[in-house]
Amino acid sequence: MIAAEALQKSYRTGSDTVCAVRDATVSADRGEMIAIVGPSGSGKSTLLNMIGLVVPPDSGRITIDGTEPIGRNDRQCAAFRNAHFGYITQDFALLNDETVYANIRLPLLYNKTVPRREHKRRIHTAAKALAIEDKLKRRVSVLSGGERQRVAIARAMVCDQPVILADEPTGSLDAENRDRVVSILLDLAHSKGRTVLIVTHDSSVAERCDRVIRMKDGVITP
Amino acid sequence: MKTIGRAFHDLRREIGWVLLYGVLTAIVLYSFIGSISGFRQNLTTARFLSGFKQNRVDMLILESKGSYRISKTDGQEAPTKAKPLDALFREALSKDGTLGGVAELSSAPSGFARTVLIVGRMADCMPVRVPNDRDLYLAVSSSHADRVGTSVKIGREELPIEATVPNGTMVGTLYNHTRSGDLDDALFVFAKDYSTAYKTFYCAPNDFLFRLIAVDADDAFKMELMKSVSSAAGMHARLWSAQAYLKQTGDSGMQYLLLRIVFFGIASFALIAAMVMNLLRVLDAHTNDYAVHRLFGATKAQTFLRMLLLAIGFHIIPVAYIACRILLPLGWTGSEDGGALKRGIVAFSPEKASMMGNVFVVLLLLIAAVCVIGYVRFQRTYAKGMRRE
Repeated sequence: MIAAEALQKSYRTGSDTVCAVRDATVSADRGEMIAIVGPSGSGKSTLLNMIGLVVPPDSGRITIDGTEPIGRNDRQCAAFRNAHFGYITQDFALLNDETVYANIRLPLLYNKTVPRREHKRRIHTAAKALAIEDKLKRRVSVLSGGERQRVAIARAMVCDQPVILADEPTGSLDAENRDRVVSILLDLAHSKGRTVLIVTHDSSVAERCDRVIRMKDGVITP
Repeated sequence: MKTIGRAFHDLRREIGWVLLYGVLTAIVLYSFIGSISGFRQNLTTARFLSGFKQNRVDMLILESKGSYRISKTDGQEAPTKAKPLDALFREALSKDGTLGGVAELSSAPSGFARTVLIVGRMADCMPVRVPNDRDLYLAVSSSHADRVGTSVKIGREELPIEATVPNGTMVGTLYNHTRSGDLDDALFVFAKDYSTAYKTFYCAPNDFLFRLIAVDADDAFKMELMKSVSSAAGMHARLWSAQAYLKQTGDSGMQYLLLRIVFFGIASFALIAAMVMNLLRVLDAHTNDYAVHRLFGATKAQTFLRMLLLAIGFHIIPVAYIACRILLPLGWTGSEDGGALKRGIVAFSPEKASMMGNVFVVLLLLIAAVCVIGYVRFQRTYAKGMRRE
């Protein structure tokens, strides 16, 4: 499903160049949930951002579902991101003054393969699966952290995106909500066949994943 | 449509700012443009009056007899016996004589707001060289330069238009009671002498009384002129030298205008700085929204367009105000026939710097430039990835 080879990324900070990720090779199958762990600054998020086409790599190849998205123009890249990736972040990345419904609908607005008349059904299905169907008309700013994260997960799956990229999705949740979110992600991977890559500091989250990738100083360690 | 909808949604969140800031911008813009326009008008007046000064011109002033007081500085007294004005004008109101005058004809050919008749020595004070052998000579303001070479029926004659008069030209203080800009839409008819003007346009002597000058005249002639005019008009006539007029009005008027320009210049600078900073603040405040949309499928172009629409929407009041001033024929931005549009919206010349079209373009360029800066800042943030500490 995902094949990333020899990814490399450096950042310039003043006159210095910092190598954030060096020669990283990652592969993930359909229905697999993989945790990327490591200390702060080890390059976990950068690796996830490169795979998710948020940050372009300096070198290396990425293949998603047999397609190489790097090198495409911006319009094609945007469409590819929309069709293939669902993003979940620690700060939820929601539109705070919008309703839950509008937030979940966001990827559908840019998706040309899902007809408009199907939006409502998809949004309700996703919301029901995450037990937030009764909150569709509420603004996300009034929801609890756990509920917001479930809105973010609903948004990440509403277009049937085959890959879910989660950057510290449980970082701002309590233990109960953390376990619930991890269970939902596991279910998405195992029951729905989504590939889930999750960056986490939390060993209890990593333990529940199918596989763990460890990073240190920008390098994947055995 | 999707992007326009998003931009409109963004704008609704800033509606208070849009109203407050828009009205302020419109007021400052209006005042600044008015000042620049006034400054330009004063410059052209000064330029024109310097022609009067060089030619040792005396301007005829008419005052009601009741309000007349003998001025010791003038040293002039109202005479008692008078030569008929018609006879005086036939003798002196000519290119070779001492008098110059301006009259406005009652009708103007199609395409012109007014027709200005300039007789005798007045032509010497205008920025047009009228050939000596011509009884009648037609010129148009620069904005009608395309009419040069064509002919118009004026009075009883069909005459060619042969020259242009720079825009902003005024017939001195003689038109002070009107907006000088009106002459940018005028047809100028130069008549060699009063007899020609009389024959062609049926002018009466009284038509010239409020716009009459004496050029390089001796004291005896001045006395005779005042005597005749007073008698014909039933008012007290006196002559005011251009030099004295300039001394009295020129300096203080210019200083006042300069002060206004400095004030509105500072206000405009502050406004532009506020506009740039405020726009950047608004765009920064929407960074999270833009980033979320980018993550889920918005393109770079859509993101930039959304920023641009928000920025334009933010200035919708001044933008709409300027657009209206360009499209509607109001005041000095155009004439009754929609002159501003006909002449093109943008005019790249110093004397047209205050034209609405120019201000409009500058405003849009500024908004676009701020959006580019805002977009670069957004890209930097977005490039940090999903987690933005």
